[in-house]
Amino acid sequence: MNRNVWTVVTALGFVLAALLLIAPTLGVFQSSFLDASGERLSLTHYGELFGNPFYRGALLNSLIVAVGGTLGACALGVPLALLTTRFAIPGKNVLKTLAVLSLLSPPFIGAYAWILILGNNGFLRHWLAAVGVDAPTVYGPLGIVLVFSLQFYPLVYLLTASGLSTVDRSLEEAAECFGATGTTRLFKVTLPLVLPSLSAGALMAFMLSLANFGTPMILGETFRVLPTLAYTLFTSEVDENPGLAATLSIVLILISTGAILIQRWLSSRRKVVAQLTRRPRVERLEGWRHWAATASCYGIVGLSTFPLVVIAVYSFRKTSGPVFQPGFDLGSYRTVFHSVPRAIANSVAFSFAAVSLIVIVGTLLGYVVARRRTGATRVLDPLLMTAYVIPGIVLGIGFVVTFSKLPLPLLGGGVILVLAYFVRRLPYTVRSSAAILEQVDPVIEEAATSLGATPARAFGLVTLPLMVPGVVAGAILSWVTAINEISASIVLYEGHTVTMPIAIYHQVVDGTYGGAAALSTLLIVATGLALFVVNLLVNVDEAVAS
Amino acid sequence: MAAIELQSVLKRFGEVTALAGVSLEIASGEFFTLLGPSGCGKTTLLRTLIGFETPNSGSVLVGGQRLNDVPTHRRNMGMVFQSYALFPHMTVAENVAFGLKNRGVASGDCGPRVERVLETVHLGGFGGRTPDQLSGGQQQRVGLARAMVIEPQVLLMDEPLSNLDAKLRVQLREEIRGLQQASGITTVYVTHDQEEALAVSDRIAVMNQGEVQQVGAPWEIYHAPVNAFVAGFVGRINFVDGEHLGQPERIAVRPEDLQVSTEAPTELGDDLTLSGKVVSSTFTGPQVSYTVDCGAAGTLQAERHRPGSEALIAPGTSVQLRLPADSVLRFDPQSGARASS
Repeated sequence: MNRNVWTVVTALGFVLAALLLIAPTLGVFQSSFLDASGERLSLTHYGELFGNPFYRGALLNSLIVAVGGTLGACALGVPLALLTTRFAIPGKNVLKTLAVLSLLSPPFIGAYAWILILGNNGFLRHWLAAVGVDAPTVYGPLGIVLVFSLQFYPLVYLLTASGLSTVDRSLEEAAECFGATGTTRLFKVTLPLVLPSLSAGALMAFMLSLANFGTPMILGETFRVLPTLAYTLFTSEVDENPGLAATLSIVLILISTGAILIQRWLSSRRKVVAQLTRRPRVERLEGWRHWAATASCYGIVGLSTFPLVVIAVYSFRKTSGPVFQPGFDLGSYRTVFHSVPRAIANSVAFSFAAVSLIVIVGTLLGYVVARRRTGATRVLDPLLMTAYVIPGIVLGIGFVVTFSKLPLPLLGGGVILVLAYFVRRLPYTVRSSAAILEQVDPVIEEAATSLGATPARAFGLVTLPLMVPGVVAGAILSWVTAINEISASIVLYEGHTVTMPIAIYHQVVDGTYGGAAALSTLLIVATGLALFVVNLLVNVDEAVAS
Repeated sequence: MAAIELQSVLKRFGEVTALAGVSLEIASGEFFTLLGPSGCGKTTLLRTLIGFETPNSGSVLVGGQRLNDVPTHRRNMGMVFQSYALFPHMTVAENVAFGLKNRGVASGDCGPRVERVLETVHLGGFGGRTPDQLSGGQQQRVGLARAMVIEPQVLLMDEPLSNLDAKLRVQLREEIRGLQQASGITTVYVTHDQEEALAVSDRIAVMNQGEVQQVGAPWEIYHAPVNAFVAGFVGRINFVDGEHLGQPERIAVRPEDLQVSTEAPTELGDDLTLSGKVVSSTFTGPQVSYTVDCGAAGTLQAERHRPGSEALIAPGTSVQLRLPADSVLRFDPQSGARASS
């Protein structure tokens, strides 16, 4: 295509970034510095946040669960990565697929499942009570950290495992020559070598834990964190305080940004040049060691998949109103198809609309970023990536603040939800299609034009077909995150634009556990099917990690 | 009339001048080679010819038509790339047919033409394979077939053999030369390999730092270099700094012209001599090469072909080097330009 077309595409990228990222963030930023009347500049809300022990506590709580979730994710993910890359464990692909499934399952379904397991009426608590053990409930910070750890460890696992598989064996052997063996070698040589990828996984776990809304909302009870508090302050009719909600949002963004900077600094201090002359060896363990290693891997993955199984089983249980009865039937499914068909239809429609936009715009922008290196496109990529530090709930608040001022009838419609899903996932698609293009020799396109193809034809017949598998895989993963999205939706939806995750959330809050289980199972099945298709197309862990 | 004419073509990339006003004429049907070290501008010149780069000033004329503003896809040129640049998602036949389809050739006519051109590059019957099922040499043959099937006005080749191993390079360069002779397509060939350039070309342009140093037939380039750069880049040569009629001058002589002897030379005539000590002598079958330390004159390389056993001179032996007057080249030590001898 000729240069003007790509200039227009680049400009479109900037317009989208300005409208959907910068304006909402600035809107939130501005509201955070206004006083209660919303007219004069003031530091009232910042004073409130740091002066009031309740809000200060929420800030501390957020840091506690985010750090706790990150440490938990590392505690599960790093051993799993070490065991699966260094030893012959049977069924590694099964482990990987199940881990990715638990990562991509709707963010609060784990929380809800743990209520069924260890809630006030949880079956495990009942069983334990029957043998005289008073088990702790899953409510509160420990439960939240548990759910975060089990959901986000796959990020640490996948990234660390890919790092470990590129550590040159000679380095570890050299360490052994100098007398470092066993755990010394592990902590002094191996782990520092994979620190860049390990910390990248930990960073993602931290950001997702920090921004997570559904889990603390369901399990938190009186334990409040910044996202749940921002939501309440922004939407509640009794103690509405949008200015303070904006302030909490800005603090969330600042913490995320700080975490990114720390991770960059950590991994830049250890630049490991991967000269992979000798691939790491996969050892076969003997006897009980083999069984212990295998059991640990399946234990970790099993524990994270367990909630999904519980949900699926409960979705088929007989219910009478909100109460589960003995026996199985399809009653819960009949109920949800009867009572919330709109949520199902909306979720399907919004997620497909968002993904269509993402594919078209993301592919074009990915091309511009990879192939038209100008000052503008170099800025565009990091600019779009700022979506990464904006928690969903903050983006939702930003959309409301910004679009309520514009003479556009966006708020309250489905379009606003589609736009939110679109902009949150766009940077990943831009990145992944740019990454695919970087593996395609640009000379190929020149060859096509030298053979008489117009630039448009060269793009369509040569470049695009080479991008398709990667783009489709990226699109399916985007679709999974879009259909499971709750934190931006919860601020932006209205009655007629309710989605499945929101319906599940309401049913959990209302105690209609059967319907919630049925809807959740539908989402899990959709997620599983999508992953299956991605698996046929590309290496799934690479796609997730990109 | 010249098939290709370049008039003062200037190309800058930011601060870097890639082509410093290059003017050239290439005759119709000629096999013309751009030879030079990496970064000399030869590839930029080729890319300017096909339109991947637009010159900052100057003109590119093909068949008398100014092409500066004609986009690549409307220039009737074929190009063969160093990295082959085959379309990985297409079969060999689809790769070759690509240019024909762009030119609106009916698909019924494509098939026979594709098969014919594949025959000429010894790949008959390979049409159904994909590029990843071919060796490097076979891939480049497809690249060649793909560029030739469109019967281009000009065929451009950008280091087409650099990714192949030595033996295959020699074989394929002869095939390329043969195909070019048979088809008569005007060909511009880029290489940094002087031996390859000498072997295939009708004429060679030696380039350095964005400028054409010399244009000439291979024999001329080798035996009558216009300056020290060309002399040093094409083939191996010994430079010795000295004085001539009170003026400093740099003389040069190729290793195969130096005569090595353990005895004092007689009947010198205008020939020059240097005395030195053999540092090493390497016997490789058809020839023996010596490294001779001549003190202030420097270390010189000499060669003797079809050496007898008496030619194996032990290191440390004192020898006399004879520089025959008719093989000595003289250069201005400052400008590097050839001095009249």
